[in-house]
Amino acid sequence: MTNNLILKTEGLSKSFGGIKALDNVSVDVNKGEVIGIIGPNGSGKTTLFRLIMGIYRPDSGKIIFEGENLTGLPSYRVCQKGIALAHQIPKPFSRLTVMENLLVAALSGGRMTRKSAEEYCQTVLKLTGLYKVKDKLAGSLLPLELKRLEIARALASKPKLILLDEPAAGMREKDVDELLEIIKLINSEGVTVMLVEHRMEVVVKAVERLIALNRGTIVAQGPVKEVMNSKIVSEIYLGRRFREYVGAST
Amino acid sequence: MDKKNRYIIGSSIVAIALLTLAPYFIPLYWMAFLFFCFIYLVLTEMWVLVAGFTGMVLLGIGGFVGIGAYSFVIFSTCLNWPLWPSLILSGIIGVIIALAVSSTIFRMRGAYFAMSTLVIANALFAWFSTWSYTGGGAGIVVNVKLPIAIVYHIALILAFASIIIVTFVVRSNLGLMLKAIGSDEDAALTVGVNTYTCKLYCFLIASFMISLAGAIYFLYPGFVTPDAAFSPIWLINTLTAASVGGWTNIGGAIIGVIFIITLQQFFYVNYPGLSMLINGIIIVVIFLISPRGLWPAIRSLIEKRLKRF
Amino acid sequence: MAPPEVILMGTFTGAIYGLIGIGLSLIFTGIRNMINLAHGHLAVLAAYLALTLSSNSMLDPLICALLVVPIVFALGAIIQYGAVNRLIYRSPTIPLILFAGIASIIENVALLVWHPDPRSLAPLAPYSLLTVSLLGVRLPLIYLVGFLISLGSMLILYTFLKHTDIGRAIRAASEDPEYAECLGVDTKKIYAYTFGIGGALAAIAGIMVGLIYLFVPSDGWPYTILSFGVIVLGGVGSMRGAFVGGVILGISQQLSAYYLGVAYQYFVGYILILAVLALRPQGIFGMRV
Repeated sequence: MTNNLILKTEGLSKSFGGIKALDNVSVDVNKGEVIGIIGPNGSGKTTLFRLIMGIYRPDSGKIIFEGENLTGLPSYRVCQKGIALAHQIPKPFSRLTVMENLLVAALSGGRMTRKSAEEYCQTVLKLTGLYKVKDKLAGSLLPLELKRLEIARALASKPKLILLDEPAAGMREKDVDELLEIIKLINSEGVTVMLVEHRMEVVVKAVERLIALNRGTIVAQGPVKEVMNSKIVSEIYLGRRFREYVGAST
Repeated sequence: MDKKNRYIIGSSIVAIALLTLAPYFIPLYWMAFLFFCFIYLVLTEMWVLVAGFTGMVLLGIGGFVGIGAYSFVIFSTCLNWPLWPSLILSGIIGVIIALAVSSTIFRMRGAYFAMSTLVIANALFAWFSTWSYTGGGAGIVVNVKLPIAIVYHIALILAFASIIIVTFVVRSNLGLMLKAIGSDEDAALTVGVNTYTCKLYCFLIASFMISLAGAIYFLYPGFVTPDAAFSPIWLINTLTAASVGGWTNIGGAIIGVIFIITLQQFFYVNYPGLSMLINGIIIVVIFLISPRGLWPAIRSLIEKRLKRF
Repeated sequence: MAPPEVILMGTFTGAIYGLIGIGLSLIFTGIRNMINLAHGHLAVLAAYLALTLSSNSMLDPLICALLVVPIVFALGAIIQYGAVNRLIYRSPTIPLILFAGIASIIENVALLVWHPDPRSLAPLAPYSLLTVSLLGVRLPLIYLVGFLISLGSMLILYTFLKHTDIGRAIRAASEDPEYAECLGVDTKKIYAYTFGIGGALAAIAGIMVGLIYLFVPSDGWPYTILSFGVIVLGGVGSMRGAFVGGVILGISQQLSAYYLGVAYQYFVGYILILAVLALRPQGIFGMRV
């Protein structure tokens, strides 16, 4: 069982000023799974991702990735270890072309030559449907293309674990389907996916296991159906309407 | 594209050949003119690399000019070492200073980084204003007798090298990382760019080249004072050249530099301060009408016109 | 001169540094972490304007300040409203280039109009020769005047920020500009006020320094760096911190002038700033408000 773990956080806590954003959160992520994290605004989902990524330093707790303690490493080292983050609000290198955006990520670990990096980035661009715009400046892309670029750039660093922070925010039904397709493809390549998402229809279709956060602590975890139907989650977050929705869809 | 490249390479070979032979057929005034251009070309190309591409606003550029100049004076005149080791060492001293301050200044970003480089430049200025070994505020004579044509050629080589270096760096993997850092440093960190090391490389290259330029510049007047070596004029002139030539435009820097030196020489005879006043106005005006620089704006305007016909 | 006298003079000039530093700090926190690189130049410009006004009207420089300070306020507000407001949204470093241009303009206009030789406001203020006895030491009256005026200006600023509508809007815009805008604050106008007030504080400090020391057009650069040093030492956005930071700089300068020689006072000040940047970038007191 422990051999199958890719990421383990032990008692992560983080406060901003007087507010506890995350309180004693321990998460186990298995190799090759798609795991979802849900919770209302301010429940600590994004903070968890930023702690894993090394953007914030935890006040206490440990982050163990493939048996190695990553706590306190700067985020570029975390990325080179094999974790990548797609931000909720895209942060493109707007003065670089789409292709160059990916190349930065692909080359920064120093594992690939320029040529193999270019080939790899082209595959990623095709996978994410950005190949047509690869020579455009990232600053000139449409909002939806930017969301894809964010995922594509995270993929370009060849992660073993990818953290997707609300990738479906602002997307229409059709785009969500394409996104789900992309997530499935990523996962089928053996990449573990952690997904923070607000939209329930995306979560239920994409993930196998769910973690529900509220006010910085884990309130429920387990298989999707179980968590969604659990009393505490429906009370805190989903409300009756969503419970009916889940009940109807299953 | 290929054709354009060949055209650029061909014309630069002709230009370099002409510039190399120039001392044998142009008057002294024009040689001095070109010499100033070469020195400022080094500074402007480095500014394009450090500030334009990477986003590090190196307000303390004059500090490296001054440290290069003073290191050279100390080695060549005070210690009486030969020319070439003294020159190279003055560049290396610039690099050592840069390394020494890097861990402090790279912790800061944006305006704080920019201001701390200015504090360093002024601390160096204050030090050399008081240090009696190099004559304090009164300055010191550079005791190196070189034919003016040799000084000219050294500056030409350095200017040419700086264009090559910046072109090479910008096209390399490092250049890609630097551009990413200049675009969004936080995002660069999360996609795995070791921003500290990348910025350090860029900073060290610039400090070496700028210090060398400072050392070579003072071969021409043959006299170094703290006021001249650490003058804010270095910064203002470089900023003007970069504003005219374009912030991320390696070729445009040449146009910017020719522009500022022409302006400086034109007003020098009557009133030296006037060219700096005009420089200030130019920086402000260009910044308000075309923040990426004047030359790129003009070029895209011309290209648009040409397309219409 | 004895050490207690040195410390007292350092404290008094330090209060003036504190005042100019508070101006820079107000602009920094009030206008999206922007550093006014022409801050010291505004101070020098004010000293020159007071010089011209005072020598032509035969009025006391301090009375002329009543006219000069509003002029610099207006100049600052115009710079912000007409130019900087268009740039600040992109990055806090971009306005630096603009201010470098403005600094060069002010410096070279001063060179053309007032020439490079050192000037002083002291000959126009006869009381600057008087000395007072304070805590058992004799020192020039003008130091005490500078100290009291700086302290008074800080108190006025504090009351203004605390109790007026514009003051409240300035504080709101410095906390969270987007949110302030949602509440109906015209941030562009408030930024113009902020810059104007910051410039006005620099102007008061510039005239005070001009009464005590000699000044030349290029003094703008060291003034700017010292104001930056004040906020480095005292921490950003804290008025008390800036005052203490200014006093530390002032005392360290006077002490180094006393023990090492006048030539070293700037060097020691700059090294102190760099040391704090290296060891405690959050300021000596760690006050980041």
